[in-house]
Amino acid sequence: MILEIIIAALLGIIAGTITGLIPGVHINLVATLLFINSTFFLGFTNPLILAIFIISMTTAHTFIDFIPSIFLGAPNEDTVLSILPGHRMLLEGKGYEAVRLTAIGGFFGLILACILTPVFILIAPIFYPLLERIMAFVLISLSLILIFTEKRKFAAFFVFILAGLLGIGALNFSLLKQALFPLFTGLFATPLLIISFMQNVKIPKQKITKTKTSKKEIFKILGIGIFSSSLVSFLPGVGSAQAAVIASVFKKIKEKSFLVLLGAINTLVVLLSFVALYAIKKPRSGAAVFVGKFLPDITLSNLWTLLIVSLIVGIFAFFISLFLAKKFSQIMKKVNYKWLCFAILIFLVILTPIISNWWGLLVLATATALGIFCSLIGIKKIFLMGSLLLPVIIYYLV
Amino acid sequence: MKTKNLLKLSLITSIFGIFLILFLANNLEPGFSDISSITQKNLDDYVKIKGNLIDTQEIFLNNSKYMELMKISDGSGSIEVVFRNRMALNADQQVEILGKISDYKGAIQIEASKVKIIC
Repeated sequence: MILEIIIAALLGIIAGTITGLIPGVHINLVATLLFINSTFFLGFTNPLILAIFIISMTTAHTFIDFIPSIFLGAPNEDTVLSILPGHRMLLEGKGYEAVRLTAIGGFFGLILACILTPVFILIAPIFYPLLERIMAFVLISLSLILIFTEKRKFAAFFVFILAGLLGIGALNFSLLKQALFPLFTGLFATPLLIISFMQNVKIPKQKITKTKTSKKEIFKILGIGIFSSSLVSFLPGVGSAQAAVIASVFKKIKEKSFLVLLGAINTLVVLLSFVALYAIKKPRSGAAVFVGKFLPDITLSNLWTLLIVSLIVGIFAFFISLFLAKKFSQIMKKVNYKWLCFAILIFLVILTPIISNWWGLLVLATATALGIFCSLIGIKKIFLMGSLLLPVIIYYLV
Repeated sequence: MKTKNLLKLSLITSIFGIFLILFLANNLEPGFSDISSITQKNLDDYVKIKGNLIDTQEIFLNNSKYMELMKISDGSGSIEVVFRNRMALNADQQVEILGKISDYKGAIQIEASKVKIIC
């Protein structure tokens, strides 16, 4: 059994590293393939081992997926908000450090998730119905706080509403598949790539640096991370992206600390979704849906096995992400960044119809135009998260 | 291209694109599918089905909302449909459903966004 667990965890780490590195390849795709072929796999192993593979892949993915976001400007929906601080650090020659900060956050997130699991198991069934009732109010309040604390309130409101309308259209477009891919690629990735290409941005030599963060700052960040992640982890329709928006309301977070926070949120939200599967019997992430299929009557012992495996996998994923970040830092010295941006742009445009069909290109083009508009008028990219917040607010209100 | 021109172009393109997407989202729908053709591979895809209502049940949710739980059959098979709204439905009615395929406790279901009573 132990050997089977080790093999499943190692395969999960490999799969999560691959899905994390390639923009657009989601862990749900691998999990779906595993589920479709589960009869074959269950011929020589048991459902717990398949669940271990999924949680290992998910954990590794949450560490590695910041690398393309920071080095290539190609994020997924969980890492979009890391693009700007990550890219700024890349332009200062600190791409490695940006990845390191997210990895530190991710590892703290794993430890916190394990420590807090008994608490969440106790309180989730009590607070879940209350949270469901107040979620729309929470998200409306947060959106208003974000807008009213911005200097150019009207411009921020305008961008938020436009992004919200785009989100409503794209997420309700029945002929469009995987609407989040063209939506977020267009809003956050392609504008950055186009502007970098047009301005002929040069990437300086990357340094392997380490910044020390005070314990007080780390505790503050993790506190915010726990608060925002626990608000979203037990509810449908909300995830890491909304948790990051909730966290960004706390104005005094420094840019580097924000990367630690994003790393922590990314792993906390994923792991708490497995706790939700046990505590309220509802899967709250794609990976939890598949674990729920393999372990429909998940026991406390199953949950702890998954969490401990995840913690151990997290240690490996932490070092793998640092190793890969170093490699990327070395490669960045040798490539022409202008043409790298162009190549990634073409790759994302080609990937869009493959993932989302031809209608995805319409969403990609519109989202790109809105992302460029937002950059040119100098409004923070966080307001583009209206694309996800407005549809979710409507979902909870109606 | 001058920044001012790019700003104008990006604003016009985004507004035009948003309204076009909203229009298309409201007016374009997938073609009809047989229930038997819906599998786990189609998770998260939108489908449109037409069939007879075998069973319907109105469920009161704890957040003061209602949910309609239906079972639809089209001759090729049957499927559970959930609709987060209240509708006056009776068994044996013929209905048209547009919705997203999801998984609930290992079984495939449709989360309906539109329900139309045909007769």
